Amino acid sequence: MKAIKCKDVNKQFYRKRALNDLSFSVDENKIVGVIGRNGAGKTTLLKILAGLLKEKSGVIEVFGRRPFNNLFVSANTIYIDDAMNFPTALTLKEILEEARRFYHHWDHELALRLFHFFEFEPKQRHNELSKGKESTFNMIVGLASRSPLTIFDEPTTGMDAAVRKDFYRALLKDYLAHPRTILLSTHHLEEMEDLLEEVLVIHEGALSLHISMDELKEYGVGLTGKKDAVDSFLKEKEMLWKKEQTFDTCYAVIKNDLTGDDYQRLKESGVQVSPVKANDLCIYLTESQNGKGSVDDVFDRSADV
Amino acid sequence: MSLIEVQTSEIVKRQIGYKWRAYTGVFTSLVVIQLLGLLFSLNGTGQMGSGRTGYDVKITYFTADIIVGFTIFWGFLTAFLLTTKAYREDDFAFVTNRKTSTLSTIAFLFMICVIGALTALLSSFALKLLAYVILPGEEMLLIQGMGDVGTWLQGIFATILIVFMFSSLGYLAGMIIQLNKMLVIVLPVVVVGLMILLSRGGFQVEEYFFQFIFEENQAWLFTLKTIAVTTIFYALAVLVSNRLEVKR
Repeated sequence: MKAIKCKDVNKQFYRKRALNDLSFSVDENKIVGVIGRNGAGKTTLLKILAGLLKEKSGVIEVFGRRPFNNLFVSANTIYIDDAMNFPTALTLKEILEEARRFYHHWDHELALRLFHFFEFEPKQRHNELSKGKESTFNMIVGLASRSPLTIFDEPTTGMDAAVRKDFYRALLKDYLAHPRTILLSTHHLEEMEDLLEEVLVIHEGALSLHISMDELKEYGVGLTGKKDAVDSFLKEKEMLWKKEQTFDTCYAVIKNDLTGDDYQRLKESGVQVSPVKANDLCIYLTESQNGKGSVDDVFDRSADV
Repeated sequence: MSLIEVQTSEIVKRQIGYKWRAYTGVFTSLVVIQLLGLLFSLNGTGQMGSGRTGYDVKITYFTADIIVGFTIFWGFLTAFLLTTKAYREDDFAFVTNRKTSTLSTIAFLFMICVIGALTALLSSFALKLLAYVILPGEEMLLIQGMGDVGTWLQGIFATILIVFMFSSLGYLAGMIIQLNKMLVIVLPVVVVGLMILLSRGGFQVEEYFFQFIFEENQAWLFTLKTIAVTTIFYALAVLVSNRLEVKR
């Protein structure tokens, strides 16, 4: 059975379109990264999957049921983000106790061990925590709940590098011991490369890529060389991104379907071939289409005059 | 991970327990507002005096009327507050849907209304004691007109119903306002405006409403009326809340 199925999902906030005919499906027990620029619609998608928001049109199924206002989906899903709202009257320990009552798979042992490892005080309150501590605590709730569908929306906000590393490790260990479907949206793809199995790249509310992490790492290649040489080559290939550089050279990223023959030709025309990191590739894939260029152009106005 | 089927009743039960532990703030406000009521009541809720040559009689009544009034207001306000976004999102921190969230909130409101009504009525004893201790002079404390146990129980029952009815009104008003921020202004203007308009036309809504509820002599009719009004308000609130999304 598929854990998640989406077909032509649309969502609109007043005049802004957040999701645009989004279709994909996710198998059970996979760790999937949701990648996209700010405002691409990641959070909206995840909230719809968690049943917090209502889709405008399209079919959406989590474990075979429509998530909005559904008790079954709510019982089997947990949605963790950096704006989690816990009652201010409860201490951190009490919040864990409450969560234990609600989630059937809850592992209180694990929760407490993580709680002590990250040096939380039982009497602290959620609204007194610093940004990074808050995220860490939310992460503990998300991990210990062992929900069949666990959604982390930018779980590492505010965490320092050491805690992030611990988090990835904890997530991986717990996932291996208790496989479940995990969705993670993140801006730190380079840190999560070894963790994720699949990647959903979302761009302007639409799906731009859904492949496995291994495929993503080899999805594109970079070409550097004289402009003419690269250009002539780009005509035959699917170009993903291109940037003109100084001294009449340019850097282009194309889909990696080069044959031995192609390599030979590239070598002859003096074009260098380099691998493209998954993180960079995602940035290229989600570049705005309207050609506003890079941020440099904002500052480089004097050159035009 | 195996999938879990949950019953609505199970989640409602858990949500009630959760709210009971999480929303302790409502009891703080109850204590504060009832103490305030107690303070205002120290002046007496009713006075009567007569005098002849040689002597003066002044009778001051010490009743919990003001405290009950304050408690009704507290019921309204608390229900109103529970509809705000922060509280609704607290609900959705754990397993829930709209139905369980609303049902558990209503059950929770009923529980605290019972407590509020009980303490309000019991405070009349505290008030009499306080009045006797604090007031100077040669007053006599006449413990009369307090009725027997039956009357007293009836009083508690009626107070619970009324506090709970006003909480339903607060809940409905709160839910309507959650639909759109503008309604904070529009709703009171429309309601008060309509009342003024209608009273000019010779139809006083508030008077009619108070007559309908408070001037009912039959206990069972009173019960029926308040429960009916409460049910209507809560049902409307549920209809409205089904249109709300959580977590924008």
